[in-house]
Amino acid sequence: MKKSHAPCSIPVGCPVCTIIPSHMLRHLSRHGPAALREKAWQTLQHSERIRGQRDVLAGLVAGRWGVSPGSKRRTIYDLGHDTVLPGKRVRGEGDAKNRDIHVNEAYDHSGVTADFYRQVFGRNSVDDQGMRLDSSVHYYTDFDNAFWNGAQMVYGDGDGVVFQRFTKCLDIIGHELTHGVTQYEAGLAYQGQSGALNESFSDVFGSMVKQWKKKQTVAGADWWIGEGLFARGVRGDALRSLKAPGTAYDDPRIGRDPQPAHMRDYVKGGADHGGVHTNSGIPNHAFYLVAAALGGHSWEKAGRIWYDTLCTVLRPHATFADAARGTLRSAGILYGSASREQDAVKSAWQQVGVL
Amino acid sequence: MVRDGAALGAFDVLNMRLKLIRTGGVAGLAPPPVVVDTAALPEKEAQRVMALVAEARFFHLPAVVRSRKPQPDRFQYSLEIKRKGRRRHAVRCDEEAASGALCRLLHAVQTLKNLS
Repeated sequence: MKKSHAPCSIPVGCPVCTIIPSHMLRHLSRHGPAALREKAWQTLQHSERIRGQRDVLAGLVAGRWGVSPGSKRRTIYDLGHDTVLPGKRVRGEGDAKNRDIHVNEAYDHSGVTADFYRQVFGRNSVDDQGMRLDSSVHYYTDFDNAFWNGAQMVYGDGDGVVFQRFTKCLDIIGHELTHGVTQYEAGLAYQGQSGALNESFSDVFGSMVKQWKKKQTVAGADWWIGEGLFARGVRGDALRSLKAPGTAYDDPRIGRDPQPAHMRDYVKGGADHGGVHTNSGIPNHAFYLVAAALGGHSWEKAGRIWYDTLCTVLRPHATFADAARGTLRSAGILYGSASREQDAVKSAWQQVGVL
Repeated sequence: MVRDGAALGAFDVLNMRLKLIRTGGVAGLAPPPVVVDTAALPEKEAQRVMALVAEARFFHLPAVVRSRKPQPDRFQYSLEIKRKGRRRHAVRCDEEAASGALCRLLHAVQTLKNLS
């Protein structure tokens, strides 16, 4: 569900955000009249996000919803090849390992993703309010997909010919959960350019989750999405590449990776909601270029710029140009105008032909 | 079995040609269309497909079954069925907007081998 109050788009100088001292907002959010509590909470949440001081909120969340900081609430369900969600509950938070690798991977990878969001961005689960993380495995028979249905994750086993099980890759699970984050933040409409941005944010954060877990630098990471998901014999390394879109696979049975890395190759209209999984190559590559220019760990600077843009700038029908302008603005707020970081963002969007 | 107004008879079981195109999904692949001639299927399989077609009331479905709010990474399908001597019918749909019965039909056809 979308928040009732859209985050203020003016980070500095907005009267609602800055006029009330934060200690008062904190008090109001807990003890004020009901209507004010919500407003105060949202204002706090927003201004804290802008300042990147989300830790302060962890205690508030605990006070308000009884969820202690750092806690996750994962539940894994087994569909037993049925399609009626969620299925039979087979593992809850803190339960011992299951005998089924699908169950354990769904559990572990969603846990790493939640930890990544909390530790890097101070985000409390998908909705930033401690939402449960539900996953259902063994969807239908030999099903070649994983998806986020608006409330939970769902994984197929793969047909064993083209795909292995979809719980296998951490970045795929990070990708699915990020669809949830996007739903609660920018709410990017799943069609055309906003849809391709929605896909791109999922790839970008999915890739960062993997890099964070492996403690990889920008230079040391492979920048693949879904590496190892293909079954044996398929000619391909992964589903997509942020570093070199269009080079992830080339196989007689499944064709060639169609992703463009530049606006001149943008695929207009057609299937897949206007090519959302194809055109995402362009913003994907822009993110890679920013991270590569800044070096170090992708999540520290490039990731922060992208996260703030997703949460505070973009609207449901945002275009690639909006994302470019938005990330430029976020970089300016975070690191200063004409900073090295902002220059890197500008240059990246120019290189992919958006600016 | 749900009765289908357009009465699928024994004749249809042996004379349906199904063509299914699937797009979308987290992988974004566009696999080759699945083309199935029921005449080429083992009789039991043909009966199963026909039952699913009837259950989904396929020939009564609108040409487009769209989700008002598309779910990320879901599949989209386009299924066309021709019966000898009758008008062909085609349905394009978002997986999340399809009824349970239509979903079962789409999933079943997707896993059939290409038999034409």
